[in-house]
Amino acid sequence: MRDQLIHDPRLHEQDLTVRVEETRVTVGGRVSTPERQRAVTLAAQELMPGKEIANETVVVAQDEPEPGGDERMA
Amino acid sequence: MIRVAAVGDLHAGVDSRGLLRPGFERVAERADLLLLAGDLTRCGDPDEARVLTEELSDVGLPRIAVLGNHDYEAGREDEVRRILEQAGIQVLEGESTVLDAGGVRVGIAGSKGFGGGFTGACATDFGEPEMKAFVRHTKKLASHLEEALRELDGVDVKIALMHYAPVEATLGSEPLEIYPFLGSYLLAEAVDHGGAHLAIHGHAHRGAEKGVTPGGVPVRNVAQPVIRHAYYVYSFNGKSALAATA
Repeated sequence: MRDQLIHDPRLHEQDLTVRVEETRVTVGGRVSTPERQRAVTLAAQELMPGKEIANETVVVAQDEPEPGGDERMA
Repeated sequence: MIRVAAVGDLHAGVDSRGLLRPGFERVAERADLLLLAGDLTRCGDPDEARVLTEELSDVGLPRIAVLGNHDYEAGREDEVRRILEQAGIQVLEGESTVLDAGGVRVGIAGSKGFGGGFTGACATDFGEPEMKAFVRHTKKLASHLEEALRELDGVDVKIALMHYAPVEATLGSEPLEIYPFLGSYLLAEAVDHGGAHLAIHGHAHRGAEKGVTPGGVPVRNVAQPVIRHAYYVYSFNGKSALAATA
């Protein structure tokens, strides 16, 4: 199911985890937008109809690094 | 001083418009060039590449990229490359380029790279044609990377830019079973023999940022899920880079 989710054209999020239990599917990990987070629930429902979907994904904003945080190499 | 911003695995989609740009608003204040370590798109769709170029337009510094496996998914990698280059993003595959930043000459050699695994647990050029083709592809790209690095002899700072990993250390908590699909020791040999001062890669989302080649070259995995920022910056004290490794 994880493979199908991460290759869903609405998502293509690589960093998802999936746990399937008797009546419940829990999806975790990081997504890049709120739209893709909503799409996780929809896609999971389509893949596992009838199961409760717990969408525990987190939207991670990719901010610029803190000033002065450079790594000095040599 | 030269400051190199780097990130990989941006995975731009057609729904990424307006989402990536805010992360790069100040990159020109903080760095002299921006390296993109492959997987620029989700599926290698030209429309995704166009979104990426829009998001990274006007960032105000040179942008140099390699493609990643996702950029090959649609079989339109040539078109993706053309779109990127028309937008001023230089794409390297077994090629090199030299930039002058404040009197410091920095050379970048790039290749997507490929898999095969690492010393003691790697695929070999033996058996079925498919296995030979797999390993020979990596050998070819690693060889071209080394040649491209050697072309840069004489620059102050020499960087190897790849998508696939050259060492195990930056694979972090990736499952051991997929290591052969995440990188190859042949890339590390190219980095070492080519005399790089830094190796940058992406691809391993569950990897670790820092590693080193057997020859002592620092390796940094800048896959965005690893660095959890829009980019990281690595700075070199100019001409001392060569002296430090002489």
